[in-house]
Amino acid sequence: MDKSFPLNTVLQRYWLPTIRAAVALHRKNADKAVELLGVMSPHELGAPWLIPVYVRGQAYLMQGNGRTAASDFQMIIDHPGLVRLSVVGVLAHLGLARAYALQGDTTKARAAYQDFLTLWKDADPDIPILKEAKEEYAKLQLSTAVTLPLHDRASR
Amino acid sequence: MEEAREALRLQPDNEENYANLSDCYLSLDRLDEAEAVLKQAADRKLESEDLLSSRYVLAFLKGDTGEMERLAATAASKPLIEDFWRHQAFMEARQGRLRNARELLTRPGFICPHCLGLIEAPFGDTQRARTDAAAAVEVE
Repeated sequence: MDKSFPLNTVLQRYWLPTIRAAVALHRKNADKAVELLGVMSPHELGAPWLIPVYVRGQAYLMQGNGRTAASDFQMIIDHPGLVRLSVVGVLAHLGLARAYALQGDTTKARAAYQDFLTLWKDADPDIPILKEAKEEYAKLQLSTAVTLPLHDRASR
Repeated sequence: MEEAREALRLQPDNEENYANLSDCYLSLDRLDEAEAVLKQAADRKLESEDLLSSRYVLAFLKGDTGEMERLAATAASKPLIEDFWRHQAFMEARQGRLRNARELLTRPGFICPHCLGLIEAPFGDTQRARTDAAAAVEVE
């Protein structure tokens, strides 16, 4: 594709960097993914569906950079007119939940997980990412339940 | 946006100019202005696949499921409308109903293998996404 369409701006500046970044992520190379998507930065809001922003958010998550990841996922949620019908608009809620969990903000993480699970309440139950989300949410609930009495005690 | 406005001024009977301008407004989340442009097209009795798609996206962004269903019924009564089928498949995928999305995209007469890959890749089933991508390269 790169060789066949060297002058196709959308391909060269949107799809190819995004595909390459997704491949880098699949190989657990988050730094490379972020670097590859750098080419998108000047016009990331000019691209439909904001898929590069979603992939970059995933890369930041893999790097353990919850704050920057949260910023990317929030950007997706804040621009429904660009994201439109793309599934990325829903998955961004899960990304946000994971980003908050990474930062240790369990309240916001729980809310974002709930948003995602509500949006996918009628989803096919065997989707891998849905199963992961449910497990993560259950763990979060469990850890919160364990710490709640301490919070209760502190507030008295 | 300016170019879309100018194109519409120059050719007010071209339905694509309304679709393009409403698309600009939709991208900026300026739903009322997008709706006004689409109403202008309707007042002129203009219709096209792109206009139908824009109306569907507008209804989605407004959370107007009744209008989405009405538009889907309109589309179903017409000969193959590829963009619209794609929208419906994306809508199913958005709600996590991947099986339904897959069925819509593999209906007889409708081939969009790259759509399948696009939908399935973020779902975490990399094996399936890879198979679909290979099929897309072969077809296209």
